[in-house]
Amino acid sequence: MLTRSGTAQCSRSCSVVQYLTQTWSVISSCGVYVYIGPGNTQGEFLCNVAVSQKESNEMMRFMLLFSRQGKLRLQKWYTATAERDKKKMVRELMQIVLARKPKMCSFLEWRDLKIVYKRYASLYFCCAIEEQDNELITLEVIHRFVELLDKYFGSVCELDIIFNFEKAYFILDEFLMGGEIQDTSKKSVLKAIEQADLLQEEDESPRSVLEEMGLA
Amino acid sequence: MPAPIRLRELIRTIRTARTQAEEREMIQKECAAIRSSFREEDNTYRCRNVAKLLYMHMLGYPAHFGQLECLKLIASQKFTDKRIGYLGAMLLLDERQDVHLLMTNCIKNDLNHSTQYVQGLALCTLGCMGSSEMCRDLAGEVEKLLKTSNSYLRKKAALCAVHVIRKVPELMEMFLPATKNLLSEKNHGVLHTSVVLLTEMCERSPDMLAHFRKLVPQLVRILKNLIMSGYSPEHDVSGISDPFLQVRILRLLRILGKSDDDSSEAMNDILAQVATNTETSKNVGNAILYETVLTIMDIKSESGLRVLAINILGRFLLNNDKNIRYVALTSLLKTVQTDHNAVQRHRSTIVDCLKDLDVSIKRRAMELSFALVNGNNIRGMMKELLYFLDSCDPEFKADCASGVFLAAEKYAPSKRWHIDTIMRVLTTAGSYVRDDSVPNLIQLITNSVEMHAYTVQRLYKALLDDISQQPLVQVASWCIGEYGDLLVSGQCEEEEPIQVTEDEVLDVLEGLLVSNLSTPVTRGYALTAIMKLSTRFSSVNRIKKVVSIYGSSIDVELQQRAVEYNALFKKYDHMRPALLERMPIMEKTATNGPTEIVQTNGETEPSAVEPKHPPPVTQPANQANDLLDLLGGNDVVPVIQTTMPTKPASAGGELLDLLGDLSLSGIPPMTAYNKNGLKIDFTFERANPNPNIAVITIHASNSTEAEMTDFVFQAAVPKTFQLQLLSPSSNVVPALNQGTVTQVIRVLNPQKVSLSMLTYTHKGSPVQDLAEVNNFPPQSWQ
Repeated sequence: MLTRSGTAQCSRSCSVVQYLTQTWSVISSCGVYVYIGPGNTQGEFLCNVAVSQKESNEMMRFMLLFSRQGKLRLQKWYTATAERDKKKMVRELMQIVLARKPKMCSFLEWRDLKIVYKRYASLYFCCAIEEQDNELITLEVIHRFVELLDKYFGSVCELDIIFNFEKAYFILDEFLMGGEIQDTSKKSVLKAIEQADLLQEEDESPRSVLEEMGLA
Repeated sequence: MPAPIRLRELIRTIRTARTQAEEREMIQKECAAIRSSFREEDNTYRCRNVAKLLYMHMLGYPAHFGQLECLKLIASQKFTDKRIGYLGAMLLLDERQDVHLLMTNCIKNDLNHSTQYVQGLALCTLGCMGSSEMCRDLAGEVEKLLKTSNSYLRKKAALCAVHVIRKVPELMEMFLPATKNLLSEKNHGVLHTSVVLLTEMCERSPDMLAHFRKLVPQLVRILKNLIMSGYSPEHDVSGISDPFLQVRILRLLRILGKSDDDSSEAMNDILAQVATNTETSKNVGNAILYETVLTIMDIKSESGLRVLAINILGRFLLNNDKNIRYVALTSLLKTVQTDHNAVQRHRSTIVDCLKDLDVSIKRRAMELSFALVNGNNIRGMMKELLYFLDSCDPEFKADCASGVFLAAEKYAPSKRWHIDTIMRVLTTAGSYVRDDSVPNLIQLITNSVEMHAYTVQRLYKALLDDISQQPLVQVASWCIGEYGDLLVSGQCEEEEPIQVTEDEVLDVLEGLLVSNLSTPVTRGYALTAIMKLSTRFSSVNRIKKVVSIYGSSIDVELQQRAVEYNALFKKYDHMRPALLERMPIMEKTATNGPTEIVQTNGETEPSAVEPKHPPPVTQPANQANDLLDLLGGNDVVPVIQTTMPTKPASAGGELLDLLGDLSLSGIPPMTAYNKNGLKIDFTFERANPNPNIAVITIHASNSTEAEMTDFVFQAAVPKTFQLQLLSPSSNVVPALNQGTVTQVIRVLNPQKVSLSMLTYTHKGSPVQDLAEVNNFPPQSWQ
């Protein structure tokens, strides 16, 4: 069976390739990405991006939030990826998702991943999951995150996330870790955020007006 | 030094920028201010500055100079600093920067902090971006926290452990003791993350899997409570209690029940319960049903349960929600091999999905349709698929065309139908067919001797209409070259013969040579065709002239051909008729596909011997020859001709391999045995890469009311054979033709006679029967 280290032949007959983990992702030296999936199916993708090491068969790889104008509002990566690869993937994905018509289904295949996306007002919430993952429950995960944001900000809108992006990240990090749900109770997650916010407020000693103006 | 501007202020300012240039200017100014602030080692505003940097980073600007500052924030005592520091670390740092290792000590301290929210931050950061070195150093701390009674920390520690295991699988053992009573927790957060942890461990290690099988009853109980329990506001989603946990448990059950009878049996009831009781009006319910179906199909479930699962998928197919339909098609694709008949029942719905507007659904429906094509429905299905080919997007055409060819070769009811189908594909999607279709088609046409006249006539007519589609033109030129005499003499029986003169034919071929639309390869075909006609037509002088003109063509390939043909006319005229004779019937070779993984079956019969290994194929010497064998050596690398400018990047290679076992073999299937309700069919293929080995797949089906268990098929053969019997798909032949048992036999040189012995248990009593199978089709042993 396929092993950790090994070689395969790139379908463009260029020189031999390098393996990435037991989940059958292969990169050829010419930059053509040959994917050999379970059951020995073989597909070919043109990709000059080195895909990061796949660590698991089932996990959320990343989550993106972006606006209709293609502005990124949040990005959370659950695998180590080079900066320029991230940029490339984000650009590509935004293009694909923004081109989708409203009546189309929320799932699409991209590279060797499944993309689950949903639009809430002016924001697209986009998750990349693996072959084995359940798309329908991922939609629910996205919805739960939106609910959390909504409860926290009180009728959340895009501006809230723009001006309080760090808080959006805090909420996300309290809800998901490594792409998995930490707690299935909305109340519990929100309470933790609330407490952490309180801790933050205790930290910040009250500033005098003079201090604010830099005069003390 | 005035205080650095606040984060929100900066965001507001940047948003007022009207052009990209203006924004860049603002950013650069602020970055400079931040840099100097960093240089001053200002503790007070470090947090604010890093937050601003993170915002600018999100806009796409470089922020690496903030990395060390993040580390300083993490080391600070203030919670605010830590919060932003850890966020910055997760956004700006990863294992590729050596700097990240400096975090390890801070994280270690924070994991032991007195405030649980600080511990939480540390766990989260480690669990999201911890490198393998960090994981190794800190695994002990995580393990400690996994045993704490604080559920807030315990749930985070569990997920952190998952990450550690993903990064450093060898550390899995150390978490084993801590998993002891994870499932007895009441807290749903801990339960959920524990199930995730257990799943991860079971997936990675068969030993762990065996160890955790004993948890099945407990998991079943938890799931049952979730379903039966009343309304719980904290975990309710549209009337369903904690769907996330339910899905996770179902997935773990799937892994535990796979290939294990006892576990599968223990979960049968609960699966049936979930499948029947779950509300399907909202996406949540369907998500749970979907996971249930996947579990049922993967474990050793009873047939009733499997039927229930397929019916659920059938209902999904009719759902208004596109997402549900998509998911149904995906699952059906996975089950079509094992539960073929059950899926066939939904064929018409699946075919309707070909007309869906959504690209993802269309693709799935297409793949599934091809998987469902068989000898009975070939005509109807092909009509739909050809219609689809006409109207679909270019990205589908290549895969659809290949699929049509493969299906046609396997199930064509008649030669004429086959050729008509090919013609239809070439004329509608001619520029999208794969490179290897041209030689395959030529081979097919050559071997359909009685259809030559009909074929060449149709191809000629097609050429008159359109010479832009290169594969069509190439096949057509080849045929005209071979069978031009039949064309001119008007011998067609299948349809009204057309009147065409030799000159007209040569006009068409010469037209191809000069046309801008023709690729160099096509021109080569045309020239060779013209040359062949020199022995079939009488206007040899005209042909001589054309050939000599191309002797000075710029295209080297054409030039070479022309010069050699010229030489044929001059010096070697005596050889010309023999050389340009009609092509003989070509031997069939298998199409590209994965080689079968050969396993020897323990219960083989007396003379079973491993078939001779095929002659070694030259392969580059490298370490993982296994992999190359798996890909069938050279066969899988398609030859990509550089002269196909219109060929799009094939994004659906998967499709070709889904049908990979449909090899080119015109050997018809046969019924080997049909008695007492048990019917055994043989289908034949040629083995790849040794075509002397016939691969026979037996399909056993049972039309009685009771299923046949302990089914064993054995074959006894004379010593002249070499035979190898692989493992059957199952020992139970389901009743009422609800499924088939398949088993593969590899035979070298099968002859006319073979003896088979069948044993099975039917309605409690054992049955044994001996049968002689001597009606092998002649092609199988030629």
